[in-house]
Order: sequence, then structure tokens, then C-alpha cells
Amino acid sequence: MRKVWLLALVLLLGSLALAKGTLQIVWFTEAPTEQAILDKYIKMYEAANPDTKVEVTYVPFQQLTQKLELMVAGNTPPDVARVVTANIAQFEPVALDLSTYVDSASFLNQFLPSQIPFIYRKSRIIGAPLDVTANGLFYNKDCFAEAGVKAPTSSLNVWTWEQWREAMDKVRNNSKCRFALSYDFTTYRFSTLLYEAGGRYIDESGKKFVVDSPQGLRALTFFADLFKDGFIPKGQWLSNDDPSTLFRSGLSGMYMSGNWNLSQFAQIKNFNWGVMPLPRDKMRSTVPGGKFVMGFKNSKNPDEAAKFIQWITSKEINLPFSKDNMVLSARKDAKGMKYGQFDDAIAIYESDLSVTPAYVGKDWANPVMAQMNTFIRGEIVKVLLGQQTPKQALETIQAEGNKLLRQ
Amino acid sequence: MGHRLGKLLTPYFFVAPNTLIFGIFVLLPMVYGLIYSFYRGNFISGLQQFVGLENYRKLLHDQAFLSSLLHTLVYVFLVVLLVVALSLALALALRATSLGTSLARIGFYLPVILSPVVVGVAWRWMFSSDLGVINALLSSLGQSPVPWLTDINWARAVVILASVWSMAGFYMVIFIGGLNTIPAELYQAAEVDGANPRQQFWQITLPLLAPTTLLVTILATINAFKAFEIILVLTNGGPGDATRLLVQNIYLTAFEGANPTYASAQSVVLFAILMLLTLVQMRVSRER
Repeated sequence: MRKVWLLALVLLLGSLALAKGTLQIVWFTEAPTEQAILDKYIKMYEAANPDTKVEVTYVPFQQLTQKLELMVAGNTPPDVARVVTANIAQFEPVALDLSTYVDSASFLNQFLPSQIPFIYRKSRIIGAPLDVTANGLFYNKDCFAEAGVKAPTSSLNVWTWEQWREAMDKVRNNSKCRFALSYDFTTYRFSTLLYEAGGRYIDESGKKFVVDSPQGLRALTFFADLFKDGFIPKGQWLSNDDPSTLFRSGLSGMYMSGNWNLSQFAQIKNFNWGVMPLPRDKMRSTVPGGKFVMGFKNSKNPDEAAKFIQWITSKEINLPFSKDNMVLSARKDAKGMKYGQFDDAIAIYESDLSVTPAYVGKDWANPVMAQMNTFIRGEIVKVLLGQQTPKQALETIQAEGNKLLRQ
Repeated sequence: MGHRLGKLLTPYFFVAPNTLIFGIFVLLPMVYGLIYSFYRGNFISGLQQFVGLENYRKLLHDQAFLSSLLHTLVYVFLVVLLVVALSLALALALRATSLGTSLARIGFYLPVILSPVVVGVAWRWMFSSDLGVINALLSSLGQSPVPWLTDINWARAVVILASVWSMAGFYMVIFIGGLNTIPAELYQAAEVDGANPRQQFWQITLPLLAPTTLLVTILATINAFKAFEIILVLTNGGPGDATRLLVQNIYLTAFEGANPTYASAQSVVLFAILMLLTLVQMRVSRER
């Protein structure tokens, strides 16, 4: 009899739990610190909305796209997902249109203009920006000091590519950093060089690939030479070696990555590190991107999803949330926000972003770039393996890009 | 009448659970995979258009697919050859029962119980071109480092060796079982007739071990065709696509290329190859 009562109690509690609305969130993480921070904010949301229970599924960034693709294909999309630039373009057809929940003009007006092309599609609002990302260059201060290399500290004394190479050579030969430069294995990170050389992927009309240019050739040749001359360890682009690990272990003089590493690098204890402005060629540039939250139109709780998205991107929540994560908020009113120990580093990212041409963001807001990402990387790898010349790679990338644009 | 019907149905009740599991988790996805392969579509919009054999026609000109197929065939041939040779050699060396051989058997079997991801990480740790233990050792001995995982040929060799290492222990146990079924009298008679160990191996051991060898070959072939995790962790199919096998190509086509229907066509081809190989091997075993 006692068992029957116990079962009834469990069933009753279960049904009470179900009566509460459950908001399902898929959240990707890149740093171990992110989960605890989001948990704190979820508790705040639940306290402010006692009828809602939030369930967060944390996934590593590498598994995010696959997870969302399978959930969407199975017609069980999450209510909310944290995504990157490429995903928001990919999931546009199934995105929850926030314009039916908010006043579009005032909602969009909260965010930096650079993020609007990613979320605004012909009157539909397919997501909201959480933070702005920028590619950036970290360096090992101890190795630089040991090698007698002085890193540029502001936009006034930015290195040229040639100066950058000289510094790599000195650091590698005169310090305990055996490797000059770690470089993330992504098209995004390579593209920094393309834009610095004055090149771009897609022309102003958005209908034609123009990467096969003298600027493109210069960027790809310079990049391939960094491998050939042993400045970047080949394993990072040829055999899955993790560039971040190499930098964090203190063996790499510099690391081409981005601002999202700050909170993770705050844990580094074995050496001093800093951020320097990106080197310049024909011009200065970074590659702006972002992290977004989006809902899905076939999810179970679209209304609650829209409410949560508005909440987490609101001034009251997003500013402290960005500060906790040490990321650049995508809100206009975050300008001048202080981050404490990383103010100098963040000022450098902001400086890099401020000189980046508008067409860089436009390139990456084009859905074709999301499809081209892996292809471009594959063609660059063939150059590094000596299977084709930089010129052949650019021709192939351009042909494939034009084919997709025509489709 | 009822008793008769019950008797007739009983065996079906016994096989029902297995049939159900097989049907839901194996047969149904296979049928779905086959249907998908005749469509164009993606994860987001679902099946969009019936295209008949278009996906299969595309495969004939798809460089990524064809090279991954070629890599797979070479990989399977070499892995199976080495696995059969090594596991047989280990079985012959360790067939006698003593404390030493038991410990050695455990040692060689250990990789089998390790997760393929762990095997991949361990081999990566040893063979990484920049940070690997082996290159560090070579450097300390004054030798120049070897580009184990960044040179196409070296990377292929390391991937094959890692796979053989992780599989050989399992097949060694099967071979030991096979060796133990060979009657000792045959060897005694051969010794009396003056046969040396080499003659005994070729004339007695190998012929009588044929069914076991066939079983090992079938199992190793199927497992080698399905190789995925070790390679994913060890080289991620690189450098370039030098160690990208068919299964990884299917995975990349489906998820990174967001083209699940085209990936389904590739899966059907893989299934057909495995089916064909199994049928051939079964035929050979029947004829024997």
C-alpha cells in the first residue's frame, strides 16, 4: 500500500512539474567558465518568471551545428539556441520571427549596426545579437621580453606584415617559445589576412565572387609561406593539433584567434600574455562576427522563447552578462563599458573593429559564406600540402562560390 | 488445434524481441536511408524533390567521394592483412598457458577494451609532429623530427598501425581458440615423421586454422570498413583528405555539407560493398 502512495506522489509531483512551462535551450560553450555564468542568469530568469522552468543543454561548439540540424530534422527544435554567424544564416528558414513579438524598429535600434545584417531579413527578425566577436592576436609577453621584441600597443604603431614576420623570427630563435605563431584552423581566421591585403570574397552587388584577385593571392601566398618557413606549426592545419593548447602551454609566441578567449586565458598562470592590434598590409582589418540567440518556429514554446531572447539581450541583463563573460556586448549602450583587468585588450579589439571596412561584415552575412566555409579551408590545405598553387586555389574557390551564388 | 497453433507460434515469440530491435534500429533506418538517397533535401527543409539516381550519378564524378573510397579500399586491405598476420603470430607465440603468456595476452588484449577515442588520443600524443613524444625522443638523440601526422604517407602509415594495434588483441584470442581445437596428436605424428616446425605450420596449423582465418578476415574487413573514431581523433582525416575514409566522408557530407540525402547515397554504396564482400566470403567458406 505504501508503494502505491509513493507512486501516486511521484506522479503528482511529475504532473506539477509538467504544468510549469519548460523552456528548452541549447547553449554552446567554448570556455569552461561559460556554463557557471549562464546557470547564474538562468536562475535569475526563473526567479523573475516563476511559471517557467528552463532546461539548458550545453554542447561543445564543434557539435552545435550537428545537434541543431538533427533536432530540426526530427521536428523537435529547441525553444532557444545560442548560435554563431554561420548558423543564423543556415537556420534562417526555420527561425522564429521575432518581429511579431516586438516593435521591430526600436528592437533593432538597440544593437550595433554591424550586427543587423545577420538578424534582419526582409522584415523578419530571425534572432538577436548577444555579443560581437573580432579576430585578434594574442602574444606571450615573457617570450617577447626574452627575445627583445616590443609588441605594438596601440593603433599608432601597428606592425606591417613584414615587421610581423621579423618578430616571429626573433621570438622563435631567441626565446623559450619554440613556435612563433599558433593559428586557428578556420576560414574566418585566414580571412583576416585577405581583408588586410585589401581583398574580399564577394563584390558589392553580393552576386559575384572576387576572391581571385592580386590581393587574395598576396594573402594566401603570405599565409602559405608562414607554414613553409616553419612559423606556424603544420600540425595545426594539417593534422588536427589544437592551436589554443599550444599557446596556453607557453610554447607559442603568438596566437591568432579572437576576443572570446579572454575569460579562458584569464586562468593562465604560467606566463604573462597580452593582446596586440592586428598587423596591417594594405589596410587594417579584423573579421567581425557574433554570437546570437535565436528561436525556432516549430518549437514547443515560441512565446516563452521570444520573451527569453528579449530578456537576455536587454540592457539590464546583457551588459552584466557580457562583463561576466568578458565579451563585447552587441548593444549600443555598452559603449564605454569597463571590464576591469581586460580594458586594454578590449580597447584593442574595439580599435580593430572600428577600422574594419563595412563590406567584411557583408561578406559573412551572405548565406553562401556559411556553405563555403569548409570548402575554402580545404582548398587552403591543398596549397599547404603543395597539391596546388595559391592561384589555383583562389580560382577554384571563386568558381565554387559563383556556382553557389547562382543557385 | 490451439495447442498446435501455440506450438507453431512459439518460436516467433522467442525471436520477436530481437526482430523488433533489429527492425527498428537497423532495418528501418536502412530503408529510410535508401529512400532518402533518391531525393534532394536537407535537414531544414526536409525532402524537397525526387531526383531518381541523380545522387548516384553525381558520386561517379565526386572527387572527395572517389578518393575516400580509394583510401578506404587501401586501408582495409592493409589493415586486414596486417591484423591477420599479427594476431596469428601473437596467437602462435602465446598459445601455451603460463603466467608469462597470460600476462602478455592481457597486455595485447588491453587496446581492445580501450575506447577508440582514447586510442586516438594516445597515438596522437606519441606521434604529433610538433609536440609528440617520439619526435621529442628523436630530437634528444640528435635526429631530425619526422612529420608523422603532417606528411601524407607517414600519416597513412600511423593511422594503419594504430588501427592494427587496437584490433590485433581481439583476433589473437580468436586464433588461440582456433589453435586449441587442433588435435595435439597431429603435431606428435608429424614430429615422428620428422617434420620441422615450419613444415608443421604450413601443413597442419594453417590448413586446419582456415575456418578461423576466414572468420577473422570477415570480421576484420567489416570493422576496418567502419573505422571512424580513431582516425577522427588522430588525424581528422588529414593532412588534407589523405586519411579521410568513406565513413568520415559520409559524416562530413551529411553534417558539415548539410547534405543528408547525398550522404545517404554514399551510405548505400558502402552497404553494397560490405554486402558483396560478405556474400563472397560466405560463398568461399561454403565451398570449403
